[in-house]
Amino acid sequence: MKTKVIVFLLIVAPSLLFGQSQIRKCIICHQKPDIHKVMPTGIERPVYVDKKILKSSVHNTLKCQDCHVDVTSIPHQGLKIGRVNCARCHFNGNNLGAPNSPMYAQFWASIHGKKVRAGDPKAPHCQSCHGGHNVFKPSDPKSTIYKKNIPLTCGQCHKKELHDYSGSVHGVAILQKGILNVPVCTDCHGKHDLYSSDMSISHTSKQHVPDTCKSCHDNYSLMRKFKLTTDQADTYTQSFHGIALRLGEKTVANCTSCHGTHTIRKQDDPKSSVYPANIPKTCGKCHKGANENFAKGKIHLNPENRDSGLVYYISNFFFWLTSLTMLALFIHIFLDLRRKLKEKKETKEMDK
Amino acid sequence: MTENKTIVRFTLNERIQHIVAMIAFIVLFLTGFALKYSDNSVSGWLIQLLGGMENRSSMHYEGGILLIAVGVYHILYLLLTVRGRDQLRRLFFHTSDWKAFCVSFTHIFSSKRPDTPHGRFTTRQKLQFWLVMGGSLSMGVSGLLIWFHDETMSLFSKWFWDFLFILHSHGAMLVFLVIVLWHLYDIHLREAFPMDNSWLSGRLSLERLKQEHSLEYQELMAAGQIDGEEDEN
Repeated sequence: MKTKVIVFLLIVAPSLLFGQSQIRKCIICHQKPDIHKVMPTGIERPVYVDKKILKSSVHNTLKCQDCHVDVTSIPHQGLKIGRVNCARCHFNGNNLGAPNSPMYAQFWASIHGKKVRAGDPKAPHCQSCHGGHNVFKPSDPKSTIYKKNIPLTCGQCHKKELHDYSGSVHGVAILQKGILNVPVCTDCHGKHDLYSSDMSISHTSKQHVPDTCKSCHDNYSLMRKFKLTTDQADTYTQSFHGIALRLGEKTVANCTSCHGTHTIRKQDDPKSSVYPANIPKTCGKCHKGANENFAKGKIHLNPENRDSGLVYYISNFFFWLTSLTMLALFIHIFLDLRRKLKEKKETKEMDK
Repeated sequence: MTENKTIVRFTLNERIQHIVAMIAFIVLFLTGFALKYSDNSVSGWLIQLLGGMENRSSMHYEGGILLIAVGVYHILYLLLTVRGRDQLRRLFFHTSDWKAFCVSFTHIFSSKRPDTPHGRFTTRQKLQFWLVMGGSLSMGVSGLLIWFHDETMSLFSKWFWDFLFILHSHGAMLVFLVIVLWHLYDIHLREAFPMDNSWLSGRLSLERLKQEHSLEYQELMAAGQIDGEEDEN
């Protein structure tokens, strides 16, 4: 017992105190709201740290130096202090308390990771999206990657996309109405597995767009919440466009060809690309001579659905006509073949 | 014996028309059903074999052109040539056909096919001819309108195009049933298994002519075009 107390006093307590004293020491300067540093480029950058936020973040047990490893002395004038390297702890297979996930490696293969590697100064690092001292769990509304905050986080750089998205049916739902069941940027584009749409592995590549949209629009219970059907997904899959795309055709329309990407709006919204008056223009992108007649009738037509009107009845009529013809022919052939074989047997017996 | 004695039932011209139509139908069925039943793995495999969706479409168009061409030729042949007009006259239905049709139902479970006397074309043959002609006509017209979809939709409407598509898609199945299930069984397989080669040789034995087309047999006998005497020997 005595030795344990001695060990605690000599080794553990100083290290704990030292850690606390380290933060205390740093925060003496960094809690001043106007504290800033001058970058080599001459730009001033605030280096203020909100202690309260840091203490409530997921990294509340870490010391400043655990991340800011190149800060080796106080004061640190003349020291070269670089960006925090999250990968010191955040790598797959770590035992340092950081989550283990293949997402770290995915980032470096993503379009953002590639740009970082290429030295693009605008390319985002971990902290660009996840925050610096304000790192919270994705489920925490304070987090920059909380579902509702994601459009704003991505919108820091992707301003036009944020503008378009904010007016779209998905954007209005989450940003204005607070409905969390709608897709934000990452739901379609991926999180760390984010690629340029030109790449076939991308969630938003020509071939993958239908599957990406279907991840919600094929979900009956989810669609029912919004008084939508899953017919759109099914009918596209069965349409010529859907079949051709699935079998490798690259020039046919997928969901976004007609509905748009960030600008998706309801069909009854005059700004929508699928608003009846806009149909000639939308179809006309591929189909020369498209006019208002293209809008007369349903595009996502399900002949098996009673709502399809005349087409439903014609389709049903043909179903029964075909079935009965098939049945009649089968019966006819069966009876006739039986008769034929009997005749053959009789003539053979007669020959004998 | 009359087994070796034959008459020319189909001229070379007619046989070539039949073969061209057959090739067109095979191409159209394969490329068409590959799209209709594209969920099926065989269809996917077939489309890859044909070189993708674009090639499938163009092959279907080419098959369509071939069928329309032979169809138009056949109509002209039936209307403009002496033999054609004679054949067409014999293809029309008569009251005797209606009787034969009814008799076939009353004899549906009997052990023998009813011995209804038939002319050059039996009721079943006439029915198949008109079904295939009507089917091909509606498939050809709807197919052309679907092919030029942009123009069709601009001129009419999207729902009209949907109607055409359903007509074409379901109609194809009906034509397929009539040709592959009925015609192939009834004409090509029933009387001579594994295959009646009249469609290639154009010839029919006198024995079968007498059995299946008794009225034509009598007609030819009366005209002296076949030698009935030898039949007895």
